[in-house]
Amino acid sequence: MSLDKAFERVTRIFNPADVQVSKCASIIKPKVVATMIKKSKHPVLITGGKLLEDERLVDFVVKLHEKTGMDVIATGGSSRPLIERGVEPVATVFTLHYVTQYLTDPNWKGFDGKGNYDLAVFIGFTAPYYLSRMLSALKHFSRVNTISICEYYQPHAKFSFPNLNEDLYYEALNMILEV
Amino acid sequence: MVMDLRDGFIVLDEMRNVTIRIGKVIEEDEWEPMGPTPKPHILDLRYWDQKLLERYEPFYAPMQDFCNLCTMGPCELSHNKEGACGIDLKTQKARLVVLACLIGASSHTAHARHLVHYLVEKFGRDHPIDLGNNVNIEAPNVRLVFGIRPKTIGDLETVLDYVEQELVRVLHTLHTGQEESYLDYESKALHVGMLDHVAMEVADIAQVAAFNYPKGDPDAPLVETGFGVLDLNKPVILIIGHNVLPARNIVDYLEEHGLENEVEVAGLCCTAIDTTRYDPKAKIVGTLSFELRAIRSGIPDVVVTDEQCIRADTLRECSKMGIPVIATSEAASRGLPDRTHENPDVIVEDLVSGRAKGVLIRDPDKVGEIAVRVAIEVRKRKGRKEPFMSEEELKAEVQKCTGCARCVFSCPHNLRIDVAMQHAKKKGDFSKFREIEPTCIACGRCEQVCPKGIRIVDVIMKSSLDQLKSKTGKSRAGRGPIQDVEIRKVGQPIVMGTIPGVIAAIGCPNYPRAREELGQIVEEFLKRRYIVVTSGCHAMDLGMYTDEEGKSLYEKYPGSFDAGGLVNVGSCVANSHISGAVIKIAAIFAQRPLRGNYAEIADYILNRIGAVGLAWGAYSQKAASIATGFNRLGVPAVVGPHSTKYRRAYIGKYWKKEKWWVYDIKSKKKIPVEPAPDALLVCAETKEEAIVQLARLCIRPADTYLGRQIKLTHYIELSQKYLGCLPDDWHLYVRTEADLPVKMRDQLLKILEDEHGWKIDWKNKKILEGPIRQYDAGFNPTLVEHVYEKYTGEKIIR
Ligand code: SF4
Ligand code: SF4
Ligand code: SF4
Repeated sequence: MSLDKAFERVTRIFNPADVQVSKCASIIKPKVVATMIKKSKHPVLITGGKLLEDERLVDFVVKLHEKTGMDVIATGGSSRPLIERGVEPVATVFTLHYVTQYLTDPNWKGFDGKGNYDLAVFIGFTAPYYLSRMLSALKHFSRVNTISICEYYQPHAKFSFPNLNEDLYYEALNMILEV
Repeated sequence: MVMDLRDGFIVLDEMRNVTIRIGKVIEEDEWEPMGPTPKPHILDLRYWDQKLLERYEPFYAPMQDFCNLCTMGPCELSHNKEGACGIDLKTQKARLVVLACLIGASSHTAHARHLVHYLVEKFGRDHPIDLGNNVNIEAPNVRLVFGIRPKTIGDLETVLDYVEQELVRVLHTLHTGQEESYLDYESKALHVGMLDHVAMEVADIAQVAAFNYPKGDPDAPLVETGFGVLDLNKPVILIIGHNVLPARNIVDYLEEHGLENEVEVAGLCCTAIDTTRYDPKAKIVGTLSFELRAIRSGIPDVVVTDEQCIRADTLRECSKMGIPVIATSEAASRGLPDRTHENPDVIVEDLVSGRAKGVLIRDPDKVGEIAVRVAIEVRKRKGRKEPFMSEEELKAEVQKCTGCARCVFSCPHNLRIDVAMQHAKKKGDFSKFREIEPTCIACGRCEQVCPKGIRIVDVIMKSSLDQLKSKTGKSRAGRGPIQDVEIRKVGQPIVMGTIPGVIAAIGCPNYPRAREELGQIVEEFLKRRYIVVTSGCHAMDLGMYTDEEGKSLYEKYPGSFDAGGLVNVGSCVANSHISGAVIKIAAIFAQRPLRGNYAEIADYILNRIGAVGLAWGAYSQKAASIATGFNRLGVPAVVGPHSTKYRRAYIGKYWKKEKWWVYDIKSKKKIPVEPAPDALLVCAETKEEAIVQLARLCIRPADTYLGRQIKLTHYIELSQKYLGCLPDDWHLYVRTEADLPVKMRDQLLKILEDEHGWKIDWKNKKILEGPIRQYDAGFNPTLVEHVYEKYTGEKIIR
């Protein structure tokens, strides 16, 4: 299947029972991800523990960080491979659970002191169900825009990649970098 | 006239038709003055909860954004909208959390009631609670909450009366049209959690006292653990659940009939642990996630179920395998006919012949004979089949797979069964199933959706049979309470911080990844000489985590409650000994009065005792209430990612400076403190992250500089090892240069100066300016006004 087709197809939820009545995430294409990052005033990239076992994800995050200058909040231990590759995350010890709690507080100044973030991009979480819960919290209790560029469709994000097989997934990530 | 009151009734002759009933009278000597909150009702400790909730703000991650609890609904509550009754999404989620905690606490309470009722009938109300010479504070939770020192089994009935009343009162608050603040529901959840620890304590001390389990023995026997430990030449009785009574009767029957070496008694879940506390010859097959593994293997000749965490398809699954089932609990009677009062000969014959798939036997004392005779007969008549399926069947099953991936989307771990199937189908290589097996919880969800009807669980297990069989090791039988003498020894180093922390690895096996990760986390802390306590499914899985020589952690680390010790307290209800141990530290080391004095003790624990729970695979409602009970007591917990589905966490915000303060009894001032611990319940995604969080959450405001130095050393080392850098917040915990790890002192002082703008006197290597507060050796923190007033003699103007 081509990447274009994959983005047009109806996608499944990683767990068919993880349903809510509010709107499900809109599928977002790689190009639009890049544009949204560019247009956002205070974006942040939040990485998860899958980076510990997937060198290609680390590669992607390093390049995206270099290209966009976007701050990285590393969770799940993902800081280690990133630091080894020269990325300095703005936070390393706070788990995604902490970070989500902070994001839901409009008075939070962010890890850089510049105020709460307007866009949070999520990548590399080992457990889709965990990210799903955090995205649900952000959907209901915050104004932060959320994009999931993980391999499974995340229904409670504002925007999400669809489910993608391995090859298409890395192709999609590359396309973000190409824009 | 002084009347000696006893249970029963008196009739006054002159007043015809008047009977005065005297309820239970507990003779209490004045062992300690009564504190402010004996037998607290729902609102009595709300002031303490409000202190906690102010700091540790509830965080909600809704599973659903709708409610359908009453007929005005269903109501769409997304984005915190209100339902037809006026409740908003957050409050509705808090309400559900209370419900989960109630289910959990009720399970332990009903279990406790059953045990106590049984023991009163068997041994009488006056049967003493004797937990051995080294355990004088026999029931720290009961003393703290209820305000008595229980001396006999009969005393425990009164405690349960109170717990049951409170649980009903909280359940009442969940009706539509009650609370409108999520904080009030959270206070109720905390209340229920506290009650849960009382109920668990009642259950466990009752069984320890009556059944002569190990009484705080650090050298409790080692018991065989794992799927591969069963002697398949013998008939096998598999007991599943949490209530030891039927299992005990089986063990007794075998002994009375000289059959103890002829039949294998094996347990799953907490019944396994409690059976081995009763009889260390019994064996532990594994946790909840081994239920389907064990049944589908066809190894058991009879399955006996009691209560809690038993699959709701046990009878169906066993019937498919031709395994008769004996249900024994009112909580899980499995649609089976009640044959408690029938002739055992008839029941045995019906079960062995297959005329009856199962029976309900409500009297635990009648289970032993039936279970043993059925196991022996079934074994004689049926012999042994190949576990799971034959090699031919295995090959035929994988051929059916179309690679549709429906199984993947139904699997709670999204395991790539499709890939494993295709790999086996095309290449004849089954290794991918062996990679999946340690993470598979054998829930069977994949099979429910497979359009080809493939027996996926059996395929995974058959492909991994050698791996499964090699999962053997030794657990230490649950030792029950921590001895008072042990507390006397470690109380001071724990409070000072020189024993860097107590890690309590407890809860269920719904791990995010392979089971082994739990062992890896725990071993990191044992090597660093933290105290590790464990219970329930975590305790069993640690018994299966072995080194190259086949030695489990229990064989490598002592069972004492001391630095570098690994202490298995027992089953779920034995978790009360862990809360009990931290309570006892306050009582024995600090001489704080326990009786009806909850807030003072919880406040003491929160500020001083670096104990942290690790529930890496928590799944149950019981785990929810246990954790919430620990939280009210001031003990934080790190949980695995599945636990975010409990919907609620308690996470503070270190950057909200106004939230981190205490009253200092010594300086008589309200002063800012470091945010330690900064969460009461928080999830970690990976084992690396969990390890760092555990070390981090052991830090307490009252650490001495030596203790803080040791805690910071571990925290920083672990962060460097697993996160690749210094932790972001280490500087928040520095009060004086003496807090800094010795080897890194210069380097860290430089960072404090350069990156955080602190003033350093380099000549004397002293911090001049920067920390949240100055270090003071006499620092005596509290959050509670009445505690401050009690120890300073001064009133706080509120
Ligand atoms: S309880 Fe309230 S929110 Fe729930 S269905 Fe009824 S009216 Fe709606
Ligand atoms: S049985 Fe195992 S593979 Fe199947 S859905 Fe459950 S966890 Fe996944
Ligand atoms: S659902 Fe069944 S057929 Fe489809 S991939 Fe899974 S095992 Fe194969």
